[in-house]
Amino acid sequence: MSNNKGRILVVEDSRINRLLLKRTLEEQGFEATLAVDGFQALAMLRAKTTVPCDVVLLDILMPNMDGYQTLSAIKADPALQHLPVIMISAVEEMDSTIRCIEMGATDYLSKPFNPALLKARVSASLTGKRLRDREMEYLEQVAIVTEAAVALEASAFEPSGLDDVARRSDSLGNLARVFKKVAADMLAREARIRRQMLEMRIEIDEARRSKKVAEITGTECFKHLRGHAGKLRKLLES
Amino acid sequence: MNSSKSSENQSLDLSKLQQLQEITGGDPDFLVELIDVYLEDAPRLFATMKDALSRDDAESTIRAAHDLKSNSLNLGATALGAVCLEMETRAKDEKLQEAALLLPVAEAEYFRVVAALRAVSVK
Repeated sequence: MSNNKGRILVVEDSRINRLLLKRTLEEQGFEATLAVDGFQALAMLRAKTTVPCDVVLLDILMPNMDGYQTLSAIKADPALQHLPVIMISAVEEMDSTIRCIEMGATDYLSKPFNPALLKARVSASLTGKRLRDREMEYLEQVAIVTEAAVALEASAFEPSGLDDVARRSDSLGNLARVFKKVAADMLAREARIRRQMLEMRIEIDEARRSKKVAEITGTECFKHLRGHAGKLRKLLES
Repeated sequence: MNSSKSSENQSLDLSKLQQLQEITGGDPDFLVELIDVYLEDAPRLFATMKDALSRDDAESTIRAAHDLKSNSLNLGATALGAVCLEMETRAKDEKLQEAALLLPVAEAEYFRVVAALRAVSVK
């Protein structure tokens, strides 16, 4: 889980509003980055090189790409649609604000903004996002354990693949630790059985060889030959 | 922060400026920076409104009035913000002639705001 202060992307074409929001957010303990319009905001959100954003503060009336278009693009993008978006709007733009909330915006903030309300709404959105992030991480780790079971059946299980999940202090972590132990016991038992089978095969092979030798040495012909060999040895020794 | 001129108080809500200083932990440089940006942007926005009104361009009028309104309210220029809101509303209603009649009112109020802000900056 992230321990960051909260990374807020402020999308606002007014210089004064950008300055005010950035400074206020930073004084309140958040990290703020700025975009002048929807195009720049989307480019920043989609760029793999920028630090991920936790909450978007989005003005409605902007040139080039307005708040509606930007919000719509964010909600249509599977990689971004989970982001909380707080609309910044003038009081007389309530219809616009309602429309944005129907489009998926999380909350709204009136201009000129009240700093205490800004902090409260940003904090609430951050809490919601962090809860969702924890849930997604949990589901991903459940999938890792499920895949480990499939891998075990296919004799392709790697115990180290469960290390991260096993570090959890909850029931899923306990499941991962138990799974690793059971899998390790099972693999050890299989190895032991393979070893025993190998040893038994060696014994069987040796027994077969001994039987074969006995079959040969038990024949009358072999006994006759052994008798002749004994006589020859005595002649040579005398 | 205080003002010795009553017209400054009428054009500027000094409590808003006080709030801006509190937001930044009492940083006077930040307030000066805000005022500078406002005084840089306002003439451009007025010019845009004039040009848009002369061309009957409602959308550009709305955007410029909206921005000037927002900037003015942020710095406590409540009266100027109210005039800009009226202009914006009339432009949205396609009543550009009525919006144009309000332009001199906005300009007169702006000059009072400038005087008040400059007095604040000096202090």
